[in-house]
Amino acid sequence: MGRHDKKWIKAAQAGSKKAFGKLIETYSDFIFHFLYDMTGNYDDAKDLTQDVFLRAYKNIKKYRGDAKFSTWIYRIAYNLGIDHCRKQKRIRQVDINKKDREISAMTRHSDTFETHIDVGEAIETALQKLTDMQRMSVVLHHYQGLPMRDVSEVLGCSESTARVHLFRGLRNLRKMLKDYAPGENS
Amino acid sequence: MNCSEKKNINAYYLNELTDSEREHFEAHIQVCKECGNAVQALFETRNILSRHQRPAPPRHLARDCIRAIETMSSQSTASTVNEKWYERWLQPVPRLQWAAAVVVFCAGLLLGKVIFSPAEETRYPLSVYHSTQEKMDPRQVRNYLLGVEMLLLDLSNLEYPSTVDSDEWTMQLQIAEEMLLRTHQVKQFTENRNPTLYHLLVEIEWILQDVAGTPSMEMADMASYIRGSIEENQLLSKLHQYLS
Repeated sequence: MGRHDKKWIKAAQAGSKKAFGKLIETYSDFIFHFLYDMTGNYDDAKDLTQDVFLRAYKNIKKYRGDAKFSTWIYRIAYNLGIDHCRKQKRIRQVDINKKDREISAMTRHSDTFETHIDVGEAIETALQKLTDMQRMSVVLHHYQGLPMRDVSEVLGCSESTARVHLFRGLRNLRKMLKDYAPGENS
Repeated sequence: MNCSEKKNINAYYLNELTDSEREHFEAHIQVCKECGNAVQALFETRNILSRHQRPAPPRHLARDCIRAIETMSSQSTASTVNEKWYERWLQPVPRLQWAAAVVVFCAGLLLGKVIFSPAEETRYPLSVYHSTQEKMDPRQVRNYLLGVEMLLLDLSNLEYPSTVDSDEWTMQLQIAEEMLLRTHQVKQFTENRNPTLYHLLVEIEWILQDVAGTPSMEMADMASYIRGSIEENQLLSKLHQYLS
């Protein structure tokens, strides 16, 4: 992603905090959005982003350059995010069910669905209802723009498995968001 | 869906078909309703997803992350100091070490000054530890040297103005500034341990002082001067020799 990544990584590995700061500046927004899509919570995403860079800083010397730096940092974010999600799963499930009921109730009483329900909120709810692997495949490919090869490296699975998760995720999203497709409300 | 072309749906969606395969498949979905609907559903879902405007990241996110790292570093330094003190004075000594200490003490009493003389202190003069701000292991020194080598390589490849822009120069200045501090620490550490490395570090320190002290407007003059200094002192070959 960054033009000077290699230089900054080498300098950071040699102990330069300023160089590591440059890496943070390059990747923090991407990592934040990734974690936001993963957790569905702004504050959690913010705290986790800090944790990601703390962990990356502690382990920067272990980065050998076999994979892209972006993939390495996404992998750290994925591991921390997935731990967080597992801890929060029960709480999140309650929120999702509540949101779901609200959306269903509003749909019943409205002619034009989109005028009442924010499409973004519906997408966030739908994303949270996917399995972790499906959600991550969709988020990494669609929102983070990673090719499927990098997606598979972040998720720690084969490329074909990552594809299966992506397309299952898209199919499920399609079912949940069919009311937002063109022509559905007209 | 029984269509033989359905295997291409995902590859088409991911834009992985060759030009001829894509043309063939696009012609196919005009006539095959099943494949056409499947492709349409995928692209519609993508369009819906693209309508999701996610909130902007916190304003000072990067700065907060950097601060968190600085806090962690200062805490870990403090805990290292405490740990050393703790280890030195309070750490429980294993039984075997106690036994060995008693044996050595008794032997010392029997044999007098010859064995009781502070041989360890002569081999590792305390002044060395006092002169360094932190204890280093060979791996840390090596990592530092690799970093310096990379920086010197970058600096010696600068061809102002064709390949260097002011942002890059600013970055080099910042790295050089930080490396200068590190050089000073490593230099102190090696002073009484490795004279060859110590003299090499003195030369590197001079170069880094020049780089760190150069404002960006003077970079045109400095680029060739620094390149000349690195070449003249054969710093890269000396470093390479030391690292290999």
